[in-house]
Amino acid sequence: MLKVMIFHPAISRKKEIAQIVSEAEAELRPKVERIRWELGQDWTGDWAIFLRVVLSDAVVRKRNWPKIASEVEARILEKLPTDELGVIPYTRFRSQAETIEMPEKAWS
Amino acid sequence: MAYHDDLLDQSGHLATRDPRRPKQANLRRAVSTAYYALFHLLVSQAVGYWRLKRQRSVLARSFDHRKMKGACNSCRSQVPELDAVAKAFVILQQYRHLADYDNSTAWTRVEAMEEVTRARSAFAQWEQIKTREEAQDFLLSLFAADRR
Repeated sequence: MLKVMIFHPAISRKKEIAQIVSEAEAELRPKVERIRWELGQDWTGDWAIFLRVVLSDAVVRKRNWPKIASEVEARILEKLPTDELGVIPYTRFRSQAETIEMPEKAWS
Repeated sequence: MAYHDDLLDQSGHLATRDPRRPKQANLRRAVSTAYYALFHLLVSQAVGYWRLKRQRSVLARSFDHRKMKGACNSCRSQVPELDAVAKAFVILQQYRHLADYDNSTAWTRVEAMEEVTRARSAFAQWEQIKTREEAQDFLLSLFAADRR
């Protein structure tokens, strides 16, 4: 059986991505509790970076939290060279309380 | 109200139902509906340029989700609002796919509300630029054959 190895250039830059995300996470505290990410393919097979951002409960209690979430997303994507990496960024947000209520490894 | 506006309202309604324990079915439908709101907005705008009204529904059916995603993903516009609409479309389509077909992925209210907000922002941004030539080029790219 022929085995096809799927390799994308972004995979070789995981360390760099980790560094950038970690810097963004530090910069965005205390609004952001943590950021998790992984490389993979979206539903059409395009390479993507899936970002999972845990917002602090204090942020989510505010009326304008979606605006804050947009700003957080924009800041992360300013730092992350997604075009150069050849990946589509997909960001999802959960509150800290939600990650406790629905514990999932990908978000922890 | 237009169909796409109704869908946008419905997505917000679904995302905020069940104040204490949101049902997965409502959250998933909220995310999916947020995508379809934006999809139908763009399709209706594109077919609105077709002169014969009776043919518009036929033309609307020719829009392909995957092709539209490709066009949006390739969009690198100098008009920031247009760029934002294209990006929102790509993201919402991916999440619509997850929400509709991936039962292993749970959704939270914050996640669903965020996607409803993303669609609302895209509607607002589209409203600002819809009459510009770049916006019309973009609409054409959503269904025109890719000859690159």
